[in-house]
Amino acid sequence: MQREISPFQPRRMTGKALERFDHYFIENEKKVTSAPPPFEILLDDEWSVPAPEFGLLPENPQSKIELAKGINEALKGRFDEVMHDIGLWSWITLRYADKVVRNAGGKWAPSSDVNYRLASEHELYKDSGIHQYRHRVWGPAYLYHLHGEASRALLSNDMTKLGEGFDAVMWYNVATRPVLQAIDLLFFDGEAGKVEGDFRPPARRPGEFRKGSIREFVEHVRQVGYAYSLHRVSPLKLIEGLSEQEFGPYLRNARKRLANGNLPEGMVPVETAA
Amino acid sequence: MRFRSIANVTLFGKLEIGDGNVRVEQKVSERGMPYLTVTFVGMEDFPVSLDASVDVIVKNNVLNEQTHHTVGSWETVLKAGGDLKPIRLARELHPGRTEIIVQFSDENGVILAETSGLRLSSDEDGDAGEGGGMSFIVFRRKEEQVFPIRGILEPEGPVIELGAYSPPLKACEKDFGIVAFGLPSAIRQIVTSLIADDAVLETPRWDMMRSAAAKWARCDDWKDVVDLSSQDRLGLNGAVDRVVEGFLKAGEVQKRLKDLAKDADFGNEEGECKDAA
Repeated sequence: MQREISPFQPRRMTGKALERFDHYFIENEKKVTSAPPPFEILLDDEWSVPAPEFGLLPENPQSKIELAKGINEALKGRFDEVMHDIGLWSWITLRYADKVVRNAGGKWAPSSDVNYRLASEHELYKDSGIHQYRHRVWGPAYLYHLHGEASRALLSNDMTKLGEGFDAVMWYNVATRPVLQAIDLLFFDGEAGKVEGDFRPPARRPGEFRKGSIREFVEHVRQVGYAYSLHRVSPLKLIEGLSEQEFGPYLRNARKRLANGNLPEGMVPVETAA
Repeated sequence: MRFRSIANVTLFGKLEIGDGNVRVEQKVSERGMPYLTVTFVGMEDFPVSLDASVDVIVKNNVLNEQTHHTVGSWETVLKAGGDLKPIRLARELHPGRTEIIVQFSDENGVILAETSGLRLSSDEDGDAGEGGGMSFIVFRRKEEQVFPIRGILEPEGPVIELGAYSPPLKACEKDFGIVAFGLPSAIRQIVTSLIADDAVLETPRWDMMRSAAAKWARCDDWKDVVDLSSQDRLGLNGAVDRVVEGFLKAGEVQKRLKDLAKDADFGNEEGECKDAA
């Protein structure tokens, strides 16, 4: 008797399927459309082949971190091996297209095609303009692969969006453990389980206060990085120079969490509050 | 508020480690696993505390990934004669888009000293990137090789191998004969084989080789170079001639040749030519 294959068992798209998949995202790039992604090719053996070496993907992830964690678990520690596997990542992306290709109103609204189509290893190494981490499925899974639960603050926003904080941390290549812990401590609301301050700050005139966004905190971190090793510094050192006027609500959140012992993943308990 | 406090300054100026004092190389083990070797040279009297922590930070700017490898205290490094244990890498690094920082810090994470950002050598003996911007070609020397220089197609990328009678590797880029005649003939060998051979050579380094060759031949892409070689008028030799000619006309090569020609001894009044005359 043939065992039924779960629809959440990862598969690899064939060349023909990849063409169809690419065509959809190129054709509908930055459009709001009534045309759904080509779901009909998802489970058809003519368009994809099962990858039984992996575990089951999460059925209905409700957040970016749930998705990222679930994919990493399904890959069974083999992320590095399949990092550039376009057939596999395209299939996983189509599997979750229902979650990542919609706009706030629930309409199909693909953003730039490179946010869904993985570049080949050649393209990635050849073209310095490709930012692979911006891929809506691969990017969160990659950050989770590198930092696990310590990355939760950057993976707690809308699944359809990359997130300003995530973009800033990756763009400046400062995703070290203390930096992620400091972001978690400041911006992650432990009780509500959601991130605050993940917005694009408006342009400022000289002398104006910053708005206290994650992106502005990353700028601050880069300054501290000239004097302190971003791999060895305490997360508290990273936040101690922030001003109340600019980061007040987030500093209060950090103090509250420190007082309650609600620390980011891997952070050593400390006696002094920020 | 007209100013903003960033951090408490605990040290006024960190020490800079000279590029010549640290050598970082990427190698590949027999099992195909990439690793880094880091060697400190002439730093026995470097003025940092013996218990300072030494870290090697690898900034992979292709994948926007920053990793750090704790080596131990400066004392342990000095005791090991300046050689660090090989650092295993999860994946091969792009020589041009990787920054390696060797950092000394105290127990609070304050940076005491660091390198300004090291460039990665891509194989055993280094590459030609410093001179000709060709980081995709690996240069190496093989004592048992009888040819002065030859171009080789390896699955990972192009290799130029110098023989027993060639100058030492580092001296080659200052050798007029090697730059003017050896290098072009090795490139000729590589490009000819690349056009004639059907081998599937699909790596980033081969991509860069093909794209450089196309640029030297004033073609849009590699396919055009191959097309040239199948034209009756040019043929394989003609197409390769165009690549090599373009290489020799490239700005960096021209400049290097002019500089070397000034210093070279071509048999002037004190040389053999005069004696012969």
